[in-house]
Amino acid sequence: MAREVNAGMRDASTGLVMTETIAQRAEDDLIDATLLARWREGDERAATELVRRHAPALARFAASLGERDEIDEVVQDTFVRAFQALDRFRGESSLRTWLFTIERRLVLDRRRAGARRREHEENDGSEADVAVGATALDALLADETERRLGDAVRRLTPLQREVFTLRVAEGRSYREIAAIAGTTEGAARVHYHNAVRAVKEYLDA
Amino acid sequence: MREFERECGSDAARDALPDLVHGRLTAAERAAAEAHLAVCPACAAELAMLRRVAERARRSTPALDLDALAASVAARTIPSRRPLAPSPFAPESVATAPPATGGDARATSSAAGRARRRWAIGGRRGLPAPLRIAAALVLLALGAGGMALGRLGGGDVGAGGGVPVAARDGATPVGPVAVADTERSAGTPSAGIPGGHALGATFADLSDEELDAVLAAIDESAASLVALDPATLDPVVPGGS
Repeated sequence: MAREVNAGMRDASTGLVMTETIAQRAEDDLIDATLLARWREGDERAATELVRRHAPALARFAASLGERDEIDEVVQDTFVRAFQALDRFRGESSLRTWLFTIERRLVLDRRRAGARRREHEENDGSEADVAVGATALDALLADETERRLGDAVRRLTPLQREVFTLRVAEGRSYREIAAIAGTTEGAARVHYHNAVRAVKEYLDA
Repeated sequence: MREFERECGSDAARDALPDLVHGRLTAAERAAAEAHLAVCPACAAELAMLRRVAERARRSTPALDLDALAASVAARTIPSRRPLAPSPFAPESVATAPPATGGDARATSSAAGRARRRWAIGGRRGLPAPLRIAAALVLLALGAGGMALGRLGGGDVGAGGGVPVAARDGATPVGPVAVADTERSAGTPSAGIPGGHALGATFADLSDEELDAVLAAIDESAASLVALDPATLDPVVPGGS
């Protein structure tokens, strides 16, 4: 019985990964497309609505990338960059995925420019170290179980933590994660499964 | 027994778990996932862990003042969307600013940008911009005077002063640039640029090569003009008598 179910899920999962036809995602994309069209036509309220829709997710992702004190600035700069480059957004990915991509690049640029004091505390300034320090999961650790969960995630490698956050906290597909992180779907999947295994091992230790 | 001691052998089943957390499975996929979870404790434990992670992330979203953020973003981006007033003295980079919304606005912006780019070409070399402008006005006045004389004498209206340039279509070098040619009736043969353009439109419609020729002629006249103080020049109305 389980084998038959697994076989069925395997097929379905393959389809899921390769397509983005889930009703909720499609509805989100449609709303974003409508707001973008209004923005292009000069409706300033559309920009406000886009900010309200995507800013919280961008803030979480910024936190997962190691931003701590300047998250609002990062989010704001991300929107500014995005709106100024809107002509380059072709709708091939969701707007949020595109925003994540811009934000990640922005964080890397800021880090490379040495804009923040925390940079000096890092041992390695490579791109793989983009997700360092605290994450969105740090706060509000109310009990031992949750504290250990936060520790487990924090102990992931930066790239594992970034992929894990995008997959679990933001529900991004492997394809989207690959686009955001500048890697392949296969690599994103491997990083995700390694991250899950590492978290579970830490929690079981 | 440890919570995650056992692990499901189906990566595909585990791949679907985050999508189940976020409600991004189709009805059929969700049914299959739930059937699998009913018989797979390892996936059930992993799903519970993933739900906790997602919930923690949601609850710990950094606080943002969304209204202030939206206002700041608007203040930093909306001015760049407005069409710029055409200015012949605008730097070349202005011409590459994002177009205004709407097809007409884009066309207008493009034309203005083209004009600005052409003026910018002249600004990059030779005389300082004020001197070049003064020189151009003098030459235009000479051309207009020549045309007026031509009219009085019954000759070709374009036979007076002016700067030889190629025709707009580039086919044949022709006579002087016809400035202030709006009095000419339609259909009248013209030795200048056809169509009877107003002053600004005439220059804006020149190709880069044509404009370069005009500017080169201006530069050739520079020796006699640099001695003049533009401030002392009498006001010249292009095309006036």
